[in-house]
Amino acid sequence: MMGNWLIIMTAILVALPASLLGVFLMMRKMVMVGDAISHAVLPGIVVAYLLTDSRDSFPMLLGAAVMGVLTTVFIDFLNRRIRIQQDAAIGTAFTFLFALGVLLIAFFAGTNTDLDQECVLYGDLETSFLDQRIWNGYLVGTGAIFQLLPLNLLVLIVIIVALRPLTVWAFNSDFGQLLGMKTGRWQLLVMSLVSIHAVFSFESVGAIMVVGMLVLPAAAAYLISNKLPFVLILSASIGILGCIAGFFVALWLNVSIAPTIVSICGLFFTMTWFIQWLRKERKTLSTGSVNN
Amino acid sequence: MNYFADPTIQRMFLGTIVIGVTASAVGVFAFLRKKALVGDAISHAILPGVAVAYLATETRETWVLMLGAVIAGWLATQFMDTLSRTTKLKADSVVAIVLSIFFAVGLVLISWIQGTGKDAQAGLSDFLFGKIAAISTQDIYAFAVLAVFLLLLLFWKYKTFYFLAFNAEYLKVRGFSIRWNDLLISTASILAIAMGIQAVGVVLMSALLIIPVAGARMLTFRILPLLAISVLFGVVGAVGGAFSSTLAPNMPTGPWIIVVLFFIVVVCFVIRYFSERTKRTTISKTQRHDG
Amino acid sequence: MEKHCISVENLRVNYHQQVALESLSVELPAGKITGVIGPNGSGKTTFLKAILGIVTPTTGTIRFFGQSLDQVREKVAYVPQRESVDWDFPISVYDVVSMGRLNPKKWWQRVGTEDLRIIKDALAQVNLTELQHRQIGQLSGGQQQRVFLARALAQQASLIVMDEPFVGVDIASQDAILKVLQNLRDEGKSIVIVHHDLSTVATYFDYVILLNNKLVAAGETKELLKPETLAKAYGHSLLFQSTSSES
Repeated sequence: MMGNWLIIMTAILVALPASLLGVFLMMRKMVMVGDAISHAVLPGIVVAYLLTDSRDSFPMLLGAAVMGVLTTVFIDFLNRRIRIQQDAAIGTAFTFLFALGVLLIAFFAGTNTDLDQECVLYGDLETSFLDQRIWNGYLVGTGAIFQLLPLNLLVLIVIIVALRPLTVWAFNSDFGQLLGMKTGRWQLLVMSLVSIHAVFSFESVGAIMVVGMLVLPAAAAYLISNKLPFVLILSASIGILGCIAGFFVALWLNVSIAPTIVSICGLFFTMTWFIQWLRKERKTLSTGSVNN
Repeated sequence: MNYFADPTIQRMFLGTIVIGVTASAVGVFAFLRKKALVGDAISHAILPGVAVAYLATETRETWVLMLGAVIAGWLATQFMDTLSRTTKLKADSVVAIVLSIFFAVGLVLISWIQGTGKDAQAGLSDFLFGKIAAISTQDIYAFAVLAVFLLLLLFWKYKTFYFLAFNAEYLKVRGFSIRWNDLLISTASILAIAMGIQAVGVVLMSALLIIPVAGARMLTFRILPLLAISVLFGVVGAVGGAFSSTLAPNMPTGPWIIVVLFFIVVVCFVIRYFSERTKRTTISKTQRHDG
Repeated sequence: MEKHCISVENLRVNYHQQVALESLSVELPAGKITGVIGPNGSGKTTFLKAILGIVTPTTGTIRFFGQSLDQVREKVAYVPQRESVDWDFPISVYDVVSMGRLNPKKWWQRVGTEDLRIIKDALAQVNLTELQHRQIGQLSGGQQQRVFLARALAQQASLIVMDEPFVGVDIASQDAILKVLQNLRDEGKSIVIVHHDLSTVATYFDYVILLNNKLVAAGETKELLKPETLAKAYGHSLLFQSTSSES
């Protein structure tokens, strides 16, 4: 029973920063860059695992996060200097890095049992509670939770302190530059946070589910509200709710947890969209009849 | 040579060549229409289609799974279309939303099938990263027919697709249907992607459409050379990747193909970089004359 | 010959649930250069896209030379705004101009000898023959605008509709484009241009319609260009517009 709550806690610690950062990515039209980052950190993570043969090598994992930031620089380079249109630049850069990571895993699959192709896709939420941390005889958390907790604090602090400049960056970069804001630096900050998040959440939810956690709660919240603080709070709530509901549905169906959570978030999004669409239809119908 | 006498190896090369040609030719138009990431969403979205087709029929006949794949891919494009028409969400969000929902549902279904113990015979997880050995001789015949059909379509309509990608509004004023032609392009992409998922896997299949043309684009801006070079790259990448994957046991094919393709792009980039440096000096001279 | 190249009756366009244009009725004369003038956000481009069917209007009937657009499509050429074009697109000047010879009913046909002659003529008329194999991004602003004008010529249209053709184009090229347009008018073609720079209206256009989400005024340029009419369309932005155009 305790294990259940530890797993839910871990999932929430993955979903919370994702749903907050996702709002900014969505505003800035960079969701697919976020997707690219979450794929591109894979080779870095594999190398980190292979070199240290453990999951807790903090500096190595930060190295993998730098790889994610470099990917955005690389995409920018392909886009600006080589004049490859942005969507193709993204598609080229991250598929290569991801393929490289999968091949590394295939090469060394025999030597390291912690890491296999399944883990890349599904993550490993199910067994995360086994790595328990005991302090003074009390269970205080798991390895994954202790890894994710500082990241959560960091993301929350950055968003609370720097909400206004981040808003300017996300909505109206040109305006920000006119004011003398260094919009490039804010972008770098957000991309760094997304990269670190991708690395630390990798072993919980895998590489491909991250984009779902980035975009689905944010998009649902954005359909409901126009006011940024409200969108952030809504997005975080939807992400957390998705984790709790997803966990129990997965338990009930006896399926993998991480994809179930994303599916539930997808369900939330689809319901929000559908309700809005129905309302709009009714509105146009009623105004149409007035005109006639 | 002994290596090529092996029927498995022959099948592998034939299969990858057919897939490489089709994907890279169709990919040129997906690239020009700025649908590179839409292709990514489609290839991820195919997964639940394959799983449902397997669950419904309990067979893993290629054509059954292909049918499921095409239906899922088509539903995904319709969903993307509807979302961008009825909401204020931007194109990249729409792509990410559809991609993650479909893929997550697909993974849930596959983990459910694995839970019931049926996956041992289905081998659906091979669809994730691709396993070229799963392709049979009949599959290759079927793929070849489909490939000829798609290439004929492109040959017949390439000009319309090309001009549509450049300036859709102009073609609309001239009386072309944008929706109909877009539907043709996306259907061709879905079919090409569905064809490749066994060999390359859903996760990386979209790259086989985009990376060859991204490389070719660095060498030329004319449409016919662009098509020819892309197809050449597609074949070289597919064959080279398939060959590399046989060098070590238990290697997935898809990632190898992508890695080989990427090295082609790097070579193209180097060529482009140096030719640009020499060209820049000559252009600046001629432009002075134009005024 | 019809007297009006475009007649619009009761046109209304909603854009993102807001009214972009309301109950607009106007007739544009054939065989003249007509300017569609108005401040930013006044619905000029929307007006253009609505009459050409790119944006679907809520209500309204549009006639070209007294007929519906479907009946005269081949006679109508559209020149898009420069910013809306992807200048990195892998396409050459010749290819863009050859789009004008694409027949919607026989789109599989290749470029024939007659087509080739028309394309060459169009390129020569706008002085781009030497640059025809360049990628379109490697041209100057004025040259880029001439490419699209050449496409309209290759189409052999009797009505050419242009969206802001003089934006980002140097004075010499503006005059070159204008000269081609004036020649076309003298051959009996009708030209409609969306334009925002008030300082050049008098020299460029024979006929002007003023928009500000609805029709403010329409008439011969000489009669219409009085300060009172202009102030009604531009309001306070008049001052800003005319100073910015000089700089």
